[in-house]
Amino acid sequence: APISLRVSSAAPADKFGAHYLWYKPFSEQIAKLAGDRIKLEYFPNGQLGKEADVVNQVKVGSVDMMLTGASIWATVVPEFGMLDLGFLFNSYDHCSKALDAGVGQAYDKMLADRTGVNILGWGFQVGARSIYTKKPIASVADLKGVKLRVLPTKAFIDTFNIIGATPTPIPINELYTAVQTGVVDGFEHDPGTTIAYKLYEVTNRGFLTRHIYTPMLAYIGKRGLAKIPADLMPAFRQAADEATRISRMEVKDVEAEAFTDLKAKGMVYTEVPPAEIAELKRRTADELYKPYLAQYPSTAPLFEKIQASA
Amino acid sequence: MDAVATAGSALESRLPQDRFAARVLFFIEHLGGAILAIDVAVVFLSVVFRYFLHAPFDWAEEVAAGLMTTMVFIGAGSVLARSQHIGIEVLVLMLPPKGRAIAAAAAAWITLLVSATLLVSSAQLFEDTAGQLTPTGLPQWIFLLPVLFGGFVMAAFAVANVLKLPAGPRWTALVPLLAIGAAIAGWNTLLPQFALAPIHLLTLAAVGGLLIGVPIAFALAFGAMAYFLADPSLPMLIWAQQVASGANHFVLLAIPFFVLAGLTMESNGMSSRLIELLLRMMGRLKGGMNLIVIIATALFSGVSGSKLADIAAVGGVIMPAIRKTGQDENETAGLLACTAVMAETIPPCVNLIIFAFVSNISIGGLFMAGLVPAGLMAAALAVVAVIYGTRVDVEKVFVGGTKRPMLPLILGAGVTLAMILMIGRGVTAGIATSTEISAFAVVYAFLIGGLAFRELSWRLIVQLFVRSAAMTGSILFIVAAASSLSYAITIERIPDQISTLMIGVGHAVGPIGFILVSVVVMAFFGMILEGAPALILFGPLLTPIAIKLGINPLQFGTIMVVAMGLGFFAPPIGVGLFATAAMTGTKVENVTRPMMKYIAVLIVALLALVVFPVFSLWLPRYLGMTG
Ligand code: NA
Ligand code: NA
Repeated sequence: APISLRVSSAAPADKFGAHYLWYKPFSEQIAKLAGDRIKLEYFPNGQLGKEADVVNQVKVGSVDMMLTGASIWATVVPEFGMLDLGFLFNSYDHCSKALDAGVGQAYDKMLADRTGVNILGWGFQVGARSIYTKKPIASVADLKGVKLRVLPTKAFIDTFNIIGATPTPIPINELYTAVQTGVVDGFEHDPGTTIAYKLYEVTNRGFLTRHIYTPMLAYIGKRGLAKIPADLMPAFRQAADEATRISRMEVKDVEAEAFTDLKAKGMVYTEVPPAEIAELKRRTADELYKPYLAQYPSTAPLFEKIQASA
Repeated sequence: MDAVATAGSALESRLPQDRFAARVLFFIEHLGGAILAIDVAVVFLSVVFRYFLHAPFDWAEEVAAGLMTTMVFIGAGSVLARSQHIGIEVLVLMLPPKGRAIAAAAAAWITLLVSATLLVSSAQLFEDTAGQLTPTGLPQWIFLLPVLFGGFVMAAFAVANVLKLPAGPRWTALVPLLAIGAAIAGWNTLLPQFALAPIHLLTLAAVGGLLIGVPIAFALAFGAMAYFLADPSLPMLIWAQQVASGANHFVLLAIPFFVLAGLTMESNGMSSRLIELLLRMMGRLKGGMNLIVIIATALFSGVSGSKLADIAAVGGVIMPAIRKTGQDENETAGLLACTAVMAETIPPCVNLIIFAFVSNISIGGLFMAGLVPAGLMAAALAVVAVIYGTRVDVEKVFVGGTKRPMLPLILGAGVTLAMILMIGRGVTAGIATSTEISAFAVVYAFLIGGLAFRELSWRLIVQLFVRSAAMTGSILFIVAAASSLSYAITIERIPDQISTLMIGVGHAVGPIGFILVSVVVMAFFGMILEGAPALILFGPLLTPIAIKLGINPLQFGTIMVVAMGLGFFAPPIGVGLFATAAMTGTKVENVTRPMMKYIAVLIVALLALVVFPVFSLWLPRYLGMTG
């Protein structure tokens, strides 16, 4: 009988839901390299529960694989929170370079040592996260007191306190109505998610802070990995590597397509003045990175590698 | 509303162990009330700090949902202590007295088994998550400790319930239960090639449990538990996790808050004035009370995002009046459940948002698409409501000069109407989300209503919190249990199998046939899964097929949400109907009969939505939102 692997994702199974960008080539490669000996069962749209819960399901093995960012695994290995610090990466090329220079491997080892879970590959989300509002924002100063729904993690909240906006927790499913009625003035997300959640219907201004380039990771639990027969392991790894390579390549086109799509739907984008970006980077280095590295000294060498890859 | 209104009297007894149990129950119930009070304060203050002081609490959402989970679990425990969890009694009542006693004993044993397994599994979950943080960085155990404590409370009261059984049936019931368990285990061990699959055990446990009168929440959890036990890839701690997470959604907070606001308005004199006014205005009209129900639900739904919250809000005001005027409470409860189906497509609606998101269609468009269908269903219900409605003899209600003078009455009712306006204004002006505004309703009812009419005492206030917390426990524990069952069904990939089947159906019977089959599927799964999971599972599977068949996704989405709502409230096992019965203090088996005519008219309206796309599409097309 074929072995079957349960794969969970919180995103929809379309290309703007970044997880599928990795999963699709992965499933094609598995079919090609392992034939019908490995069967993948894909559970998109958070069918298996909240991401924080799926983390535990991967740990104990009721789910074999999970596609998500780094943030949610910071609940288990807090060092993953470093990847969520604002303005850490300048571009996806920077991100690629740093991850492949050993940062990815170091995180894989940290995670495996503490939970038995491994990372199969590091893809990308569809586009950097920026700020979307109803009112035009021309400079960072305009963000003062603007209520933004941000990803409810400590690193994001701290980043937005530095930017000067007011980070406001709202469940993602209530975000649309909250922006529509004005409970919050806007949100921060990547263009793919802005399309997936139809948030362009309630906002029309994008302020391109590109504050976070987050990777998209494929995690596999101990039990899931143990299911793969030794003779198939090289093929399995190769499928994951191919998926990572292909998704990293495609993500740029999909991001461009997402921007074109959003602009066609009436979204007007504004660049952040370069001097203001430089100032934000200086302040995050001072007020965010320093205390973070002091709290988690083991991330310091990884941080240096990231800085050196810029 | 008085399903749990007997606090402090039921367990009084002279035996020392009973006195101890009563004291424990008193403590547990008041703890639940205190947690509800803290939760109201957290949500209320978080809105005040965000809107007026521009300093939102980062932790408010996580903490508020965590407090609610605590309240649900200990509330489920206290309701268990009073044996007031709702279940299907109609079959058990057909048995002779001896059979009835044995069925009751078997149900008590199964409830104990589920509670004890939940306690052990949540202890494992607690251990597994040691050292983990929540997304905002709080220690995870803070949120799991309440589940563990609630599991302990439930298990302890389940043991007490078994001990309270007469010795004869208690041990007699154990024989068939153990025999069935041993037979299944033996069969599966000795004949592995013919082993019963986990999904068979799930069905057997859930259906069997329901039939012998196990409370619906425990029967659903029992089905999921059997599945997890039988599938070696699913550790039991994940079952506990799914039960615990099932009630941990911020949007569900609107339920306890509106229940509390409704009970408060009932106690502080707000409801009685509004209803006296409505009665004197519309009572002489045939079906006047029924029309009040329909209008009030539509009004509340325009500000709330959840059907159960609508029922909590309207039921809390209407039911006391129904009883006071000597009308049929079962008739009203049935109509109330059906108006909630109608109001499902009145924005804002959490389920429309979820459906639009997972199916990749316009949220704003779906909001607009739902308005005309809601109006159509409201009109259809109103016709039946008037035909079958009665006139209320207003003079009979107000005998002996209890009638209030007109001017103070209008002003008094104005206080209640102002609350509905405040809720609507608060949401549309962006002061609060439709969930958060329910905390304002509570504060308004206590402060304004309390000060205006001075009919509240401290003792009464404590009782209001205690009753609301217990009621929340009995309602949301069903949702929590259903969520663990939904996990098992998802793992079994039943939705995918159905969707494969549906592609074939679509080709064979064409678009209208496809919509009709989809309606049946949604209604069926809507019965057992709380709305959102059914939509999350089937929305993305069915919508693309519908689009390929040339069906407009806005029409399809509207129909799916209505069908799911119909199933959710459909007798005999719709989870929403059980929740309605709990909130209105009625019994499902009594509500079913008078409800059927309203269900029938909703089905006719739904068929009209299927056959005539114009109902769903006219408004979004007019507004240019069909893109
Ligand atoms: Na198991
Ligand atoms: Na609504």
